[in-house]
Amino acid sequence: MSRLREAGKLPGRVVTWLGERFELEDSVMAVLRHPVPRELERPVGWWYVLGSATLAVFIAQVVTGVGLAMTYVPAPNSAYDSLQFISHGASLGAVVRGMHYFGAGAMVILVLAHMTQVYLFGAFKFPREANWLTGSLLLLATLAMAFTGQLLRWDQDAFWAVVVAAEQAARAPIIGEWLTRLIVAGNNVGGATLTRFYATHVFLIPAAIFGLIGMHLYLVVKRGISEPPVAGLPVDPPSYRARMPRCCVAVSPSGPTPPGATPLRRRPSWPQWCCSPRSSARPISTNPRTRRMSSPIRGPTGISLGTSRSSR
Amino acid sequence: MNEISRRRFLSRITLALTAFIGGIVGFPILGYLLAPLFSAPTDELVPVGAIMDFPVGETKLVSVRDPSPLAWAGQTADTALWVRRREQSGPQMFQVFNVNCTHLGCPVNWQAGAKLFLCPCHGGVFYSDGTVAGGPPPRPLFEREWQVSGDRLLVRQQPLPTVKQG
Repeated sequence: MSRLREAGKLPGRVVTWLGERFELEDSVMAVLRHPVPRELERPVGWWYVLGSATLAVFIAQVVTGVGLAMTYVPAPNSAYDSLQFISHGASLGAVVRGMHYFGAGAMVILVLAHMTQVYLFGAFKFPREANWLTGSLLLLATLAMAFTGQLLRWDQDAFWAVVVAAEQAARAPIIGEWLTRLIVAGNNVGGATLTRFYATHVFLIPAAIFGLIGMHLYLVVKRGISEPPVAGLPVDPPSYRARMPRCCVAVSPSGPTPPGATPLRRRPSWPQWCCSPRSSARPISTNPRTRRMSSPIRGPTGISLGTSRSSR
Repeated sequence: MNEISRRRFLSRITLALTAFIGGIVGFPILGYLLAPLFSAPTDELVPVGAIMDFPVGETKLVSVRDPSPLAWAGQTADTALWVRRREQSGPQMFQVFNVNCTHLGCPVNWQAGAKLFLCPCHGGVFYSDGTVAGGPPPRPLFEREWQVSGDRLLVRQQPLPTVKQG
């Protein structure tokens, strides 16, 4: 009986062991527990779901895309036939291809809906301009994925979509002709075209998307979730800093520190959610045996990477 | 004499070496990716059929195979052309059109009854001699250089025509 009880404690021990090794309390757990503006408890909070929804669909696209890539043959003489096999021969192939197809449409719709929400809520304003900029790049990347993905079908639609894209690119000033030759990978749409688009769709753009999502999410966590706008309340750097004194301290070493701001070097460790003043923040560590031993460890950019802790 | 510290000297050397190695690694990769820009345009005369296959006054669709297709190119190495036989012989004998609409490159269709080329994408219309009859195309259909060799019609290969050419 006591052995059984011991075995029951094992998962907890494993979690504790991993938690200590990875310092999850400071990193992952802190991010998971990050506070959000209290207004989001009301139905207005549903407006904030669109970014996560896009991310969820993106993950589904990655998974279904990997599945499709296991059967799809990116050669112009077999691409169409391999897709016919996926749709009509492979087990559950039609489902996976359908998920990828409808997921692609959902990505575009959700990205645009997310952008509309951010625009209407004014969430692109200070201090979240960088979120908006990375988001704009993600929008372009999503549209590029939609384009390069649909032409991998290599049917008549796909072939002429490549031609139309090349002709449109040709109209760009100065570099137009070069762009055309890069798009069709040569002088004409031919044997080399499809493999280039395949590599672009499967490696190039996804790599960029992963990096951009990383930046985008880092900024969301770092800057905090935006509050719903209040009519008459301006969102500009001075008033924002006045309301949230711990937010967005100027990084310039020579520049003046905003009044009321904690100097950068003394700022609390990274997951402090400075931009959410009315948050229901819980203390990160409630363990009395955990005490702060040293100042926060900082990365080369001045971003605190976490706090060094030890337990007795 | 300007003195630089040992640390600064070494860090500069390190940066320079890193840039050098990065260049050595990066140059072939970049060259490989941009290779299509440096490939010479195809400029060969390829046969498209016997002259007697083209009756005077008619416009026919022919297919031209890329002279050096990749082994896995399949149908993609085929290019379609419209051949119009105008006269029995002479320099006005043929008119060879690229299939691409001059608006955005979609393939135009010859309607023998109406004697018009119609583009399925945005409604471009061309007369039988390739001049614009209506719609968005900014210029007449692109033409190919042709030659008669014996009883064969030869057509010059050409990169994908764009609105800036010719």
